[in-house]
Amino acid sequence: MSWNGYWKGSMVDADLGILLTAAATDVLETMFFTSVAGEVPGGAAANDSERAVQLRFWGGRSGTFRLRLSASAATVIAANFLADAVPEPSEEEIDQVIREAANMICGSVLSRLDGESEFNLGSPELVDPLGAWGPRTAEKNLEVEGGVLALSLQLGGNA
Amino acid sequence: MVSVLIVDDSPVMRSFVRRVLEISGFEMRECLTAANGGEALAVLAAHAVDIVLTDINMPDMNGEELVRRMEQDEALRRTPVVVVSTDATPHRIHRMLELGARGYVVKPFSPEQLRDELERVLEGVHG
Repeated sequence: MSWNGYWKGSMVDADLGILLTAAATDVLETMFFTSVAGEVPGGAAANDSERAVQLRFWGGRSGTFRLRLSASAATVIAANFLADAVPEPSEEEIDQVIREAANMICGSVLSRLDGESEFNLGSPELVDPLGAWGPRTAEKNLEVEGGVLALSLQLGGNA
Repeated sequence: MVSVLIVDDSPVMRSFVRRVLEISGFEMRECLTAANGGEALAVLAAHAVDIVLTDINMPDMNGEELVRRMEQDEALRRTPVVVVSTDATPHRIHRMLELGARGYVVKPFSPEQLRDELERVLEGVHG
């Protein structure tokens, strides 16, 4: 195994957490015109008014990415993304925007995680925010306008 | 003034790309949209466009297959394609360019980055 491969293989959860924060901040600020105020220690308990999206990925790395955020934060992010085109986003449009955010953040994480291997992203799916999220390789909770954005990454082995 | 075809399975992303092009100052004559590669080929059969922007991951026919089919079609191979994707890995970018795409924009992107890449590609076509 090359040194590069060894380093990637041994990346610790803390490094992945930093990567999650960097990717989410870049995506939210550049494409969703939403700033990230900082990390929220310990995060916030899930509740049924939240939205949650999950997508699977495979290729150089395989696993699952999940995103969960409050209804108010979802509305703010959707309104920022759609701007004047849709002054008051519908529930369906908010769901579409949140799916797109999950897609972009996951893609950005994977590109940063392993710049050498292609990856494929599945379709982002809305999931129960109260559902079991299973084991996580890394997670981060970020404060955004309107609430908390919770991100988690579960990595399997190299495909 | 340029005619653009935006190919993405997400309606909000199609709307976003169109708006970003408008606010970037990119001069569009018309902006057509399609939800996947198959729809894009149907649009291209009926309309002459100057440039195609396509996502990669789409149901039914993805962006890779769209680029491949356009390259195989004598009538479409001169229409430049710019890929817009979250995948920033050099392997993917290289493969899409090898298949025939003329440009590649990684999400997230700024309005200026998207405009500059389209203008660079169009200059290469007409330059």
